[in-house]
Amino acid sequence: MLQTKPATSELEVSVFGPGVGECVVVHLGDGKWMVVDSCMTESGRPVALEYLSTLGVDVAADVEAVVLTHWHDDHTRGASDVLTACHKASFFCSSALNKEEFFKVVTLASAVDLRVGSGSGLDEMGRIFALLHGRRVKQSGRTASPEYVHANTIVFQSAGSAHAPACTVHAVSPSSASITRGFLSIAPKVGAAKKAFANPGPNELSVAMHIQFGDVSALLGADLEVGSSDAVGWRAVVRNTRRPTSAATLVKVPHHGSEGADHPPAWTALVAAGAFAAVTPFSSSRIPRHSDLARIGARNLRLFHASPKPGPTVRFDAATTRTLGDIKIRERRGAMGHIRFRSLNGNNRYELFGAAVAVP
Amino acid sequence: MSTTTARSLDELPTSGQVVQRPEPSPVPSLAGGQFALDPDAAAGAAATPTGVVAPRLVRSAERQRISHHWEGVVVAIGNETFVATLRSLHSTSEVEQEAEIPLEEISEADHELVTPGAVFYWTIGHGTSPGGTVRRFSQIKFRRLPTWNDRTLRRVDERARELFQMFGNAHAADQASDV
Repeated sequence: MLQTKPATSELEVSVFGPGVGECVVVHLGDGKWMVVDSCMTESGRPVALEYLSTLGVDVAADVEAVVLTHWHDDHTRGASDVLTACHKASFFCSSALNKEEFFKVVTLASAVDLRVGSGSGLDEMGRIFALLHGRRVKQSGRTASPEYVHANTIVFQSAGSAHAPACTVHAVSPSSASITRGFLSIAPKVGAAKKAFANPGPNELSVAMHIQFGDVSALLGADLEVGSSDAVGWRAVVRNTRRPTSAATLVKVPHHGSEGADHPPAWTALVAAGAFAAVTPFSSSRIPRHSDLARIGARNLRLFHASPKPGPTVRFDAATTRTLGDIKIRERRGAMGHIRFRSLNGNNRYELFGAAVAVP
Repeated sequence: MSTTTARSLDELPTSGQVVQRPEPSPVPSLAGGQFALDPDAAAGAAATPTGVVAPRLVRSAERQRISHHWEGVVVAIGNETFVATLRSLHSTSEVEQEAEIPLEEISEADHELVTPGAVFYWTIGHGTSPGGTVRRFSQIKFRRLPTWNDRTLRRVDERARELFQMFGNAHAADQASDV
């Protein structure tokens, strides 16, 4: 039953994917929750709020942390609404954002006008900063700045209780070298033509996290990619001697299963044999491809796909169809899929809702 | 901050294009207790509501009917095609769409404009000549946005510095560098 709450001593990792977009909701024990990234339902509501409402969770009181792994639009949509509803939650984002350079990117993006859309998730970041500013004004004296996260930052920690085991959420990225390198060079020069800012990279700046819940571990891979050197990306995670060492039995596969995020030593070091693994698609880049699913599935895993069918092709009148010829226009968003992992007393199980499927 | 608009007349399109003027969106300002990322608004400049440019489709004496009109943003470019996200300019309630469009659909003059982040307008419809001949058309026009100027970039730098002072955390940055 979708609406059945987890037990107080039960870990839950729910992965949502609607074709473009991703959100992970985690029960940290004792009725405390964490929301990682955000995407929207067909009704235009953040999926995290809709799901937690279905469970009867009081998000204003019981969501402890809202984490944006990075600022791309497929991970940020509705995040400001989530943060607004989750009054008590601290807001966490990548330390890469703790730079004047990032605020320059946000400001530049706001200076390029589009009529109906935006080129990136930077507009959502702008809304979040506006929200934090409002909180700062209301709660004078108390800073409402984001909590900046990098490798080895503790995002959440509870000592446990009679009802729930201890829980620690530990960031494993971005590395300091990634943060130092910062954004890809996108700062425009005088005389350069304006254009929309389409999700500036690199993905090595995103926040991947390890969750230790009693004896059970989970790994949320964000969009972290392998990295161009041992100092960044998954290569840096593997080499980090201070990272948690327990192998995860629940995994959110990094960067939609792309080859660029697949670092075999990371699977060996961080993921247990037979783990449950969830992948979400990013249909604009056609990932994961069949080859990606085959490569991941060849490991000793149980793989699940949140939304394998791309968004439906838009149907037009006959004249428009003739004019379009071979060009197909699709809805960017597919059907929402929900992969729910729960772990209680050493018993791991999964449930699939909506468009989610097990990958054979 | 959904839609921001061009802020001065020099950002308007070139002649021969139709300018639609949407309702002005309020430009928040820090001085008013709100929050602005807009560098010009932050500098106190008046925001001039301007709109989107529809490509010129009018031919003398031809009656035209536009069936579909999208604003597109280039996401990725391949050898023969590019992928773009599309939002309908006819109905804001329509969900975001995407298409893989052959580069041959783009006029030679616009080829250099096809880069990630580039904005274009795609119009599909048909025209009827005085003699009754019906002509279907599909027209993709890349928007030639104004260039960044020194004044705007200086304001961006100033605004970014203000925001960083407001939300940045130098102590956290120091900690990160120790990892």
